[in-house]
Amino acid sequence: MSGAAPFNRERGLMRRVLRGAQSFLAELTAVRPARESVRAKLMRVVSLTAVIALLVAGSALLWHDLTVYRHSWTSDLTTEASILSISMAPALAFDDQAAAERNLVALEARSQVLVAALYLPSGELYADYVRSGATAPPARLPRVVAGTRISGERVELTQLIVRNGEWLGTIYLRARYDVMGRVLTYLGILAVVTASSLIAALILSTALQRGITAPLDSMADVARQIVHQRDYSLRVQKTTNDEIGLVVEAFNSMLNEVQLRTRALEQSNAALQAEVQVRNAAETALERANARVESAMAAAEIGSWVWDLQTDEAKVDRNLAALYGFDDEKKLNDDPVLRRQLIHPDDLAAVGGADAQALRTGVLPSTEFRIVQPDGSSRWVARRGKMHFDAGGKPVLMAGVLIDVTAQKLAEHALRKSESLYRAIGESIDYGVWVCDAEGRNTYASEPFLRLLGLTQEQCSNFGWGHLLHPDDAAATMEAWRECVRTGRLWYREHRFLGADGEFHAVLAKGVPIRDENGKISGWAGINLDISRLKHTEDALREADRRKDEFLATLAHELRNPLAPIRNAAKLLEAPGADDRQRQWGRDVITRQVQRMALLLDDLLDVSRITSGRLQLRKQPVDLASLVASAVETARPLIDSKQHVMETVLPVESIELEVDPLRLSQALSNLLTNAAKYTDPSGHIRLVASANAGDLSIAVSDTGIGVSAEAIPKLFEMFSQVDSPVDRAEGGLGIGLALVKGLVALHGGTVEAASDGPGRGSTFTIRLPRTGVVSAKRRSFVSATASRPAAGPRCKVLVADDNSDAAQTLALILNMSGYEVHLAMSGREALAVARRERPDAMFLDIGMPDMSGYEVAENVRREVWGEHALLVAVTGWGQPNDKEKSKTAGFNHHLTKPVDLDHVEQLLAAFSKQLHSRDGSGQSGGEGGRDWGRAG
Amino acid sequence: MPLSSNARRLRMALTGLAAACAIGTVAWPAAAAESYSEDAVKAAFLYRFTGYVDWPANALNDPQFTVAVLGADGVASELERLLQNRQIQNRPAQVRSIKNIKELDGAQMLYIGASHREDLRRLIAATAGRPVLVVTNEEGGLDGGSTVNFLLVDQRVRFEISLDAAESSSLRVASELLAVAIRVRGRRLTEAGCDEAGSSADVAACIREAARR
Repeated sequence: MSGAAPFNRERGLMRRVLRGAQSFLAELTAVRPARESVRAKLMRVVSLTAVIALLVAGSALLWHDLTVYRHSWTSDLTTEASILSISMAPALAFDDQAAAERNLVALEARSQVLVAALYLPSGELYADYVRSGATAPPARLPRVVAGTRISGERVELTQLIVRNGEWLGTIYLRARYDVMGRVLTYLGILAVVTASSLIAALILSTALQRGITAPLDSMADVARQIVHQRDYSLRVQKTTNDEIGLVVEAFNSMLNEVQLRTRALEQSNAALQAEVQVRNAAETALERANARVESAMAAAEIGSWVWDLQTDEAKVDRNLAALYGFDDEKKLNDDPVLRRQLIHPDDLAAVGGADAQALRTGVLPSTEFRIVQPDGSSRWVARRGKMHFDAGGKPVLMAGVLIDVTAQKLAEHALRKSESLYRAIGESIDYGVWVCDAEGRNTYASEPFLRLLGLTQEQCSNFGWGHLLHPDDAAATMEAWRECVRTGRLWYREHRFLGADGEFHAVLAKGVPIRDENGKISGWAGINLDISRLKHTEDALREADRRKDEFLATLAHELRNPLAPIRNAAKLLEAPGADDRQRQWGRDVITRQVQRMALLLDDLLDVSRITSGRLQLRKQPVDLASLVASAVETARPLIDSKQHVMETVLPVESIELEVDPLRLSQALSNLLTNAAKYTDPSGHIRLVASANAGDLSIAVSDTGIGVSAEAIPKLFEMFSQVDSPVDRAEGGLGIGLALVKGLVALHGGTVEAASDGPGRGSTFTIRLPRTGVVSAKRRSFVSATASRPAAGPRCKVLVADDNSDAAQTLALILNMSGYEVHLAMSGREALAVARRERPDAMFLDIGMPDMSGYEVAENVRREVWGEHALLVAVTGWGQPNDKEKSKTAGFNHHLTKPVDLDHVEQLLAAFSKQLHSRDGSGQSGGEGGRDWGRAG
Repeated sequence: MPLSSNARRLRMALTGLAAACAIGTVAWPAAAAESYSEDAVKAAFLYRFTGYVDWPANALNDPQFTVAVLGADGVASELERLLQNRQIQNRPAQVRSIKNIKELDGAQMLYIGASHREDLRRLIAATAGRPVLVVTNEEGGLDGGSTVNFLLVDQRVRFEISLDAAESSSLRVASELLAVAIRVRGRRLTEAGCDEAGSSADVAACIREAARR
């Protein structure tokens, strides 16, 4: 379309102008900094709107104008052409070229028209008019396109000349199109108008905006003042009756409110300040208290925990972690399994059970359990907790503490231990422990005391014990007790209780008041010592003392007895006139009396030794028969002198006893002597020895004066003599039976007396425990008088082995070979026996529990007497190492079990030969025997 | 409005194009006056004259416009061809070749060919009082009383007009036609002082002026 192109060019231009205006406006309306005054904003708004409006209006007008201009121009031209074509039509129709040109020339008047040309339908140029300076029209118009075409500053019009439906020709017009000038003119006008309008608008708005900004300014001023001076009494004056006026009103009323509220606020502020101070103080106090609690809990080693039941998560605090031995609670909180792991396995069940119970019943039972510390040690802790419920009563969480109770637990243990200890002590001591309340009513008495009185605790309580006081003491004692309770003095009194045994027991009571921290008496505690035994002891001692005095008197007397004849005899010997026979008699008397004295003194010494425990038995295997024979022999003279009949009954089998033959013989002979002494002449004395299962009994019975029942207990006491003419006549110290008792007791046996009564004779029975060896063959030779034990035919041998069969077998063999064999069943026993017997040879087992053979040997070697002894190790250990050890320990030989008995005999034979050759003196026993091994 | 003017222009262009196509077949040859026969040109002129002449109302009662041609068969045939698709005075036109003036009947236009050398006056007198445009084609034709008379000047077909004759036929001739006539005569003109022998331009101007009066 020919017309479109020029139009589009216009539009492009317009668009460019618009775009420029847009960007300019965009910049204008860009965001401004905050503190731009309202006035400035208003001005900006006004100017912007004015400019925009003007620009838009101007642009629209311009565009419109251009459009209209174009329209009018083209329509003018078209009209012109139409007019021309009408006037040209006749010329063309009637081919009047001159007329055509004449018409065209008339266009001279139209200054805008540059070229007018007339073309025939064939396209030939018919007539034209060309203004000077203008380009000539085309000579031919080959193609006719009617219409207008604007190009730049020119507009071309082509129109068909049609008359009466007949195309007569084409008219072509070219005219000036002075658009740019117009645009520029228009723009100029627009600019001027815009500028002036803008100025006018600005001026106007400057004037008018006061209506808005003035009240705003005053509001702002007031607001600023208020802010600066905090004076809420200021108000804004309402000057306008528009929205701003409303705002001002509102502002004022707001200020009113603010003022009121400020006042109220200030008041409440003041109150608040005070409150805040108080609260701060409280907070600080709370913080401090919290800190104290924290540190107290830390110091007290109390940790706290919270168990959220809904999430099944437990959280512990620092203190609890410290109980577990951790620095902080992080590890424990992050790892619940760890917490379980650190509980002692034995206590896990209890803890789990407590948890389950808590979940079931809502109450967590207090649990005590051990937790393992990092260093491996255990620590007792007690866990307590409380369940917390939500509004609906559903358990939500549990919170509690963990307390270190190690100390308590240990204390508990210790307490329990000490309690049981004290109880044990309390129950074991034989005096009464009692506790009374502040009024003196008994609340506790120990078991021994209750047993003594035969009461139960209920019976003893209050003053129940009072009924058992000795009638003589009762009233006074109760009175004294009451007085004591009242005054609070120490209770210290002797009184007697009727015991459950029916006897009165003397009791020494001692009691102290228990005072509380105020000094007030809260109770009484004391002990009742049964001093009846003491009393008895006192009496006994007194009695013994008396008897001792008696004894001493008797002793003096008895000793003096022989002194008289000795003196006489001595005097006789001095006398010059005494003859040989008299002198002999004197010597005999002296000898006899001295012997008598010696015997007395010997007995005395023996008794003294026995009582002081210094009497040593030299036990050896002794044949019963020979023992009895020896005893009988000793008593024979007296028996015969009184013409008693002596009967001896012995068991069929020969019995061997491990006893001191001298001492036992002594005891037996004492009994026999007594029997003889206390029986009227031609009496009957009978000795019966019988072997029972556990012991051996030797009973000596006589048909003598007997013993009264009450005297029997006292018989064996020292210095007791049956007060009888016999004693007076025969003399004696009255220590014989005591001696017997002592001697038998040393052997581990007992002696008892029995009598049917005075004049009915008496029986004295010795019972001895049987020791193992029953030998059917050998009887050791027992010497009667020698104070030294009989020496064996060869050397003394000690066999020590904790295996009794081994020991006894070896001992037996050696015994059969004629050695004096001593047995020991342990190392210590071996050493003890060795020290006592000083054997020449020792066969020692090595592996003995209490002391090894090595040690025994070492000890023996240290002894002077053991230096040259033959020490043979007899043991299952046979390694060269063991033999070395034996050698180091001092053994001469090392034999391995089972021992070769021939070898043993050879060893011993060789050794004893060596021994005897060394010694040089005689060997076999008999009186005065050898004194081997005894330290010189 | 841009759009509508665009449309207008489009319409104009299309109309022009259509017109050109439509006219092209007929008017093209007709416009090239030199290359066409004299008869054709005269025929064309005859047709065109009708565009510049006003008939009185009573003359146009006929539904048809008839052009009587006397003694000019060539012109008649040309004119017939020309009038095939055309209208004259908004009614279909036809050509009637007549031999006798009496055959005129209701024709609104009469063309007397040069072949009839009779007394034009007597022929034309037959049309007196009737609104018939008489066009003659000989020297002094106007004297005979015709309104328009063809002349051949410089081998170009020209014509002269008698305003008096037009007047007596109750016809009015447009001034444009007068302007392109080689000669115009008429009482009024004489009275106006326009010399009939003056240059065409003067005469035209004078005529125009006179017409204005």
